[in-house]
Amino acid sequence: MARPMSDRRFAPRPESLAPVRQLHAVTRNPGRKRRPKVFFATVTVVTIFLISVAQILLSISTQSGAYEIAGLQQQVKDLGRTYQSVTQDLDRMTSPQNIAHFAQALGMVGNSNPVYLRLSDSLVTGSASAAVAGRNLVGSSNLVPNSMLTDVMAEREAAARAVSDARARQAQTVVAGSTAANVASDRAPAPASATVAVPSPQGIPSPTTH
Amino acid sequence: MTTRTTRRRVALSFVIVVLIAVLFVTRLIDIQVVGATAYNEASSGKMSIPETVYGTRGDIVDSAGNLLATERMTYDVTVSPRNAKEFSRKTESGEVTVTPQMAAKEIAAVTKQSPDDIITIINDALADDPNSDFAYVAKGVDVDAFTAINSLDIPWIYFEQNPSRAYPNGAVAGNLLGFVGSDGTPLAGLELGEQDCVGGVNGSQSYARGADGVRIPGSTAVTEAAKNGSTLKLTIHSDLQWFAQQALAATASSQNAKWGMTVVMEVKTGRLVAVADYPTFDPNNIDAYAPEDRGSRAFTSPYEPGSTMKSLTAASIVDTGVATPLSQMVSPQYIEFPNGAKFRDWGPHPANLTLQGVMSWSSNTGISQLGALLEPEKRYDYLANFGLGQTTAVGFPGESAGLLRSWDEWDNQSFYTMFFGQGLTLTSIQMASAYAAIGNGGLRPPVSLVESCTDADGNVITPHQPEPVRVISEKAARTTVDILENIVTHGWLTDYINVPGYRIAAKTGTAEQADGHGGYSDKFIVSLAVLFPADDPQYVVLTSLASPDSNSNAAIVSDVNNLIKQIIKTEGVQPSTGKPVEYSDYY
Repeated sequence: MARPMSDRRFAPRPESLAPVRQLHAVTRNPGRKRRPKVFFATVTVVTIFLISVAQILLSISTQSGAYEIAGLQQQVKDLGRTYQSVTQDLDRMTSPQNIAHFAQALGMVGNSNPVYLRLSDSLVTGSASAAVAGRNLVGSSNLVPNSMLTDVMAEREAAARAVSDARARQAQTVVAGSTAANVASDRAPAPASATVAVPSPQGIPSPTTH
Repeated sequence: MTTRTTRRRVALSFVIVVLIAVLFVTRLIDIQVVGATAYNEASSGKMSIPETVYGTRGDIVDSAGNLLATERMTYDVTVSPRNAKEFSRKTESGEVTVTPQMAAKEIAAVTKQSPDDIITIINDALADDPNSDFAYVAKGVDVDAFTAINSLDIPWIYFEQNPSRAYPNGAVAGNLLGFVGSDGTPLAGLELGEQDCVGGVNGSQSYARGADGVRIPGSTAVTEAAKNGSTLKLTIHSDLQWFAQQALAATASSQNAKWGMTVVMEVKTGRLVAVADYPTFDPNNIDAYAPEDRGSRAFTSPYEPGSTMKSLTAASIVDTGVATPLSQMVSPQYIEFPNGAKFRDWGPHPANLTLQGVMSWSSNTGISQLGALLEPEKRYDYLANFGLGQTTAVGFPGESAGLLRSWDEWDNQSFYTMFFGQGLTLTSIQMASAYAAIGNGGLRPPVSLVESCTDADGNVITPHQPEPVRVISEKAARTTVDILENIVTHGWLTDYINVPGYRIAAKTGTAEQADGHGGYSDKFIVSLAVLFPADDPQYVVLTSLASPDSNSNAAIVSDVNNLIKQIIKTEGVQPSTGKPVEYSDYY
């Protein structure tokens, strides 16, 4: 029982005896075999193409983004400079020297006497007296230098001079004009007041009272 | 045979592939590891641009937040002399040729130089080196000038930017603020003393730039992060500071005084509201001022105070109980003590004076006899507790402690003259602080100039302050203020120190000045110390003027009176209540 089994095991295989071709073409469905090749090739080529296009687009957008960023950064820089320029002006305009100068130029006079009105019993403490022009607490000229205001002060003085010169010229022309034309009118010459920069009455808010 | 050949071919190919791989890997390691540093350096040298990231210096603001010092970008205008040739510029009317002379004229109009100076700068640089590529045209121009010159589009003009310090209020508190050098190093004043707060730390970073000069996004590498300075808030009120400086300068210049100072301090807190110095100093324009005028004399220059010292003597003897305002003392015009000390009084006065009379007449002979009732050790303790001989809690750079010798080192003359402020020195700040102790019920609060330091994240650090020092009892302090108030109401001061509705206590001082040769000169330091309102003192004002034309306190009193009115208005000080206690000058 055992023997024939072992014989069968060692018996030469019938296939190895004949020179049979081990590899042979699969002949089934030859049409379907060619189609996948074209498909995959197409997919690969298209993918590569798409990737290239995407890369070019990405690169273009990055590049233009870089220019945009550079442009915006330049804008930030410029705006920063403008900001610095205006804050610089604001800061020196708010300096006590400048405010005092402005106030005095406007004809404001500081009243030195502190006076309080107590609301509970209407008692006035201190001696109420009117502020007198020319009796400023600390004199009229600025003794606390501020080199940041030098230009501003010079400009302002030049502007003030220009205004007074213009007024003087205006007055002269008016006088000359009226004499030349020999205008016998008791009305004040209108042009003088019209051209001098006087704040319009409409610009001053006033309450309507009844 | 065929199989073997195939195998050999395969093996050969394999070996070749491996060899090539080994070659590549070797080269890769050579590039990436062995020579990495050198290559990196070479590449970054060509591509990456290093730049300094400036750590901004912090602002300094006053007690209301008004800006006193800030950081600004300024620009240095530089030229490449060898390229300074004519160029063409497109204008609306077509292309025009701009010569260096024309360009220099345009630049000069902005920088306020003369055009010839700019041409000279270029020619000088070329004379030194015909290939010269760099010279300064103007340094430290502001942003407006930079924009103006930049828009001229001159191809051989370049800019360097530097952060620099700006003081928008100019000389307002300039003596306190100090200044920084052109490289940003703090050199004086609070800029130096508070460097830990306001100082910034510069960082550095680099970025890569394309061939067209455009920064490559994402290429910025921070080598070292910059740290911005914090905001320093002072106790100074900039409007009052300006007023004090203006008033002091007006008096000092009309009196031809050498120097002067005014200190305004809150009595209850020791906060300095204004510290005015004359000559004043604008830190925007350092070179225009003499080095000795660039600091705060109120902190750094001690002087012999003279008679304002008598208030401290009176407070001490009243506190120990050896005298009352009505204690009697024969006060002659001239006195000679057993130890040989001798001095005289300023002007004639009756001899039968009470302590009040001694103070009203400012009698040296009277106060020295009354003061001598105290033991020297005790006297020294009082003076030390008043804050003399030691710097204040402010710790101002270069602050002086004054000179207060130990009691066993006093010579015979100064043993007595110290009672009226000769033979010892102190600063204005120390004297104001001593008066604040008298006004604050005998408790001397620490002097403060810095309120807080706030960093960029909003963390507020307030400086550590020592505890107030008990100098005299509350009762003695009240009595001393009453004596000082009687000085005003009894004498000539009442015509000058007079604000309707407010009770005011004050003491004058006219101190001899050392002449530098061991004696005294004929010029004096006149002072006035004021506590107001006298019923509940809120402020102490101390003004001193050195070598005025008239050696009289009258020179300063009216300005001090104006300053008092200004303080009352600005700080909303309530009017006084009650009536002053009356002490007689004579017995």
